[in-house]
Amino acid sequence: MKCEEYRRICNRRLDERNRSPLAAEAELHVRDCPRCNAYARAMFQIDAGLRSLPEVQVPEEVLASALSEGGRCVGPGRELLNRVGRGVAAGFPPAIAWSLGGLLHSPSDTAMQFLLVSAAVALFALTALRPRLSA
Amino acid sequence: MAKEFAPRLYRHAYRSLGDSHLAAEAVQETLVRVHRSLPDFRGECALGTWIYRIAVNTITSYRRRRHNHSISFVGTGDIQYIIDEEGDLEEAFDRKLECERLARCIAKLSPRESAAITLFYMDGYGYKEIASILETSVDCVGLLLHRGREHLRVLLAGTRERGEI
Repeated sequence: MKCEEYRRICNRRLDERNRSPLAAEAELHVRDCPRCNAYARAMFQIDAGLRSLPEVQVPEEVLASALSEGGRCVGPGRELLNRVGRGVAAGFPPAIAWSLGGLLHSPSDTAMQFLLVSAAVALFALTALRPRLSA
Repeated sequence: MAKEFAPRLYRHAYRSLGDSHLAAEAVQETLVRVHRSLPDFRGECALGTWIYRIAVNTITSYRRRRHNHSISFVGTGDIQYIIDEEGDLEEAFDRKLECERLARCIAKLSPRESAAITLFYMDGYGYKEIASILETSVDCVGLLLHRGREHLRVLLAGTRERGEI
């Protein structure tokens, strides 16, 4: 194997949560090859440095500001209203088209008209509530 | 949801952008984008993964805007942490310096490398989740981490040589 391969193995090992020891062949090479040895040390130091970086303190005012903006936008009540609004907007045109079409082509029987209008209302309600039901 | 994710997103944004004000702005914009896109969320991945995906995209656009913006890490918390850990002031100062350098260098990486490094080391995500957030393959995540560390090595060597913090 070339040095590049051994370096890739060293790098890959750094990403393991429970690190297994290097294979004997790789360990021998990394120990004996000065450039690979320096590389492995540098990578190990960077990995250790990244792992030991202190946790970022979240300033309270930043958090409050983010929450006021984000919270106002993502509130459950407003989201529900938006969904219903979008549903109504989406369901209105097909319902109107259905009921008009039905009324124009149906016989003048009142019961039939009543059935068609009921079907249109049901279709409208289903289409309007679909986003809310699937959420 | 905002309460749960805002601190995590802020920490991620801060490490990637290196600026507390930009990080706060990025978090706000992320939350607004999440709200707008919420009806399109179909549950194909975990909610957290989806939110982080939006955050990474927002942060990437902020990084582009930030061109040549000076990076200022407010390190009071860092100093206290190190002094508490070590007790030795001189050593604490050296470690603090290295922390500052490393943190600055993360913000200088390419957006995808920086995102991969931050997601892996700071947010504790594994290869699969990072691949899902960055919309790439698991192999590519390994490559991004590998390259990210190599670039950090070069950047760190440069800053040490120049005596920069």
